[in-house]
Amino acid sequence: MTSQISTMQALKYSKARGLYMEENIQIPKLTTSHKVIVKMAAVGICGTVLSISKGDFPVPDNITLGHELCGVVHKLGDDVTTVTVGQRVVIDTTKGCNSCYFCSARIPNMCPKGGIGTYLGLSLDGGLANYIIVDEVDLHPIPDDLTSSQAVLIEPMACLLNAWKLSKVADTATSKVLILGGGIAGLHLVNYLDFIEVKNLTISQRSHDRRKRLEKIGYKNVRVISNEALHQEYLENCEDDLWGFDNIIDCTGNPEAINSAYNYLRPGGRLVIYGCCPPDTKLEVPLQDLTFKEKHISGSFMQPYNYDPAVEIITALARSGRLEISTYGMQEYKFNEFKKGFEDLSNRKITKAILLIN
Amino acid sequence: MKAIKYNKTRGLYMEHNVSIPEIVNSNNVILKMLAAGICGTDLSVSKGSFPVPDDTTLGHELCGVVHKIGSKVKNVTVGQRVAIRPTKGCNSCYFCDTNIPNVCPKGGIIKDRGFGLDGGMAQYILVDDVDVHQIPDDLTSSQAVLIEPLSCLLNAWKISNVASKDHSKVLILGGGIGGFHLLNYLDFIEVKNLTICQRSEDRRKRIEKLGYKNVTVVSDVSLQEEYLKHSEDELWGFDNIIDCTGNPDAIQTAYNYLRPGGRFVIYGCCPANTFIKVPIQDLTFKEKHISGSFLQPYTYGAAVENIVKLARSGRLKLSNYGVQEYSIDDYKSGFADLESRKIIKGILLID
Repeated sequence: MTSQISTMQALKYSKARGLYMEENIQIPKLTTSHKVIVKMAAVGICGTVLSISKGDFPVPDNITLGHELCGVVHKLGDDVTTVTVGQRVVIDTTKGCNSCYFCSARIPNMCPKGGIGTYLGLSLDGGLANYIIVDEVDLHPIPDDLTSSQAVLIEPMACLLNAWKLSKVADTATSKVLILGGGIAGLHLVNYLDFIEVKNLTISQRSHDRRKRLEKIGYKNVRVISNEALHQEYLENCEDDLWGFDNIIDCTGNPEAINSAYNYLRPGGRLVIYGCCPPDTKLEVPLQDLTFKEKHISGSFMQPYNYDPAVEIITALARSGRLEISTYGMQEYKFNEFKKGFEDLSNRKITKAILLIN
Repeated sequence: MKAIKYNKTRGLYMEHNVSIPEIVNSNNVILKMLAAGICGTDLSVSKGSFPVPDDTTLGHELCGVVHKIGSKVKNVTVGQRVAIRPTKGCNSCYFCDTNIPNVCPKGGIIKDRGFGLDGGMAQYILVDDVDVHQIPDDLTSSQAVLIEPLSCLLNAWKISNVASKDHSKVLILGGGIGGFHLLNYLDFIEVKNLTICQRSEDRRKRIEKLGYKNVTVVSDVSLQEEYLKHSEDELWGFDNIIDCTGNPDAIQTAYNYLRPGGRFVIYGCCPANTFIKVPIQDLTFKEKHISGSFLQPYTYGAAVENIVKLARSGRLKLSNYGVQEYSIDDYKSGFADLESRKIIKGILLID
């Protein structure tokens, strides 16, 4: 009845071997009474994971990757009361220490003992494996009608909600919002913002293919534009204080795009940088303009316990037909076909690979 | 009447035969001026480095007495002493609607008295009823001049969005009138972990002499040394930094002093064509924030209240501040002493 298998596979990265599948790893055992073992169902591969696989994003050697996680509760510690075996869940990868300034200021994503330092798949072993051990408090149940592949989008949604909150949009009906980049993040964000009826949305995307994908979806309040056309518009209107955007969210991680976009801010405008830029790249901000036009620039990193709203939002999006995997350029692969998933992502054939595990 | 004006050809000059303003609209108020402050921006105007329309009367930090009122004015009566808010928005655009009238394209700096419209370094000024706030008898006109700068500093403080007055580490760059005034206020409202960084020893001494309990006074050199000793320590640094120097080098350096999640507000006015180079990966991964702060959006009323409180608790003895009064006829000395850093603010007393 119960499986006799006590080893599993895990997808890891090391400097020497690059990306590799490790076999015969011990399945985690429950260590404390509040731990839960989750049998993984689906894990998303995002741009950061791709960077890790190429050696561009440093991680501890031989770490198991994967932080966009959906699975099924497999075993419970003795004191676990909030989930039951067999429940489908997503896993919140943010943890703070709960006793430092940053945690008490509600930015646990910045906690020096937590945050990136305890992020699954980046600093601690993640979920690209058959099983993972986590704390009870990390688990959030998902409804039956949400597929595991759709659930994988909850983690990125939680991070985008952080960026959106930092954007502090004044008025969803009248604020002019610009999203830079139509990759998975920009796409995902525009999908959500259109859903919550932000009325003046523009998304700028360099490549023709990605613009086509957006146009095909047929959002009513979204203008799709190339970055060249946008810059052209800026040049034509740069004397006009009323041209431009009140809120700009960068989802490109491209320093040139970010530097150009600073110019597109209206007075009082807010630029939030969600995309991850390479090290040693700079944004040159004209100080007198920043001050006299009272502009704002913020970074947005991971998420401070946004899983509750993220689960609700992803569920609502899915139920209103706004989360067809293929529409967003996402594709599913078997766990053992991981190489193809990473390749297709690298070649920009897809916007996200989802590995189906077990 | 007389008025102090600026134009490109003559520079700063006193005009003697200026027509006294008359009531135009039923909500107008004419003030007989009592005092007008001279700030760093006025100094820039007088040197031609801050553009204003030719022959604008300067003066935006103002206190006066109500002299004449339009037929619909209800909030003040003739003879009352008031502080004067120099600017507002148009009340009908996106920016005014979203509570940032200070950047209104039709208001803000364009209609700022002393910059875009004639100001109060004159014997009389014409304003609207909504621009005047009564002040109590125990507040001197010179103290009332500090209301306008506090209203702008309150904006900077609001944008700073401090998480905790008890635990957040706050750094003020610059101990001129901006930094000093802000420090005084923050200490008054009991922000517990305050540091002020000031380059010159004189200005540091002035601050130390006041004996604030929760304030650390440092030089820019020693602050940078501390940073270099601790640059690997994530817990060193500040959660909120407010620049009151307008010095691009100081600002560039201070970016490094932000802790994760830290917020940098730039209140000081930098010269045109100066930049801060922000390391983008650091900004993102450490979720830092950089904001400008300009003029004031509806904080004037709060500034009036707070200046009255500061004065009544003995925290506005102007000589302690390095603030000096001059008669309006002696305006040149005021500007010169400010330029030579003998004082941190001049106040013109007007008949």
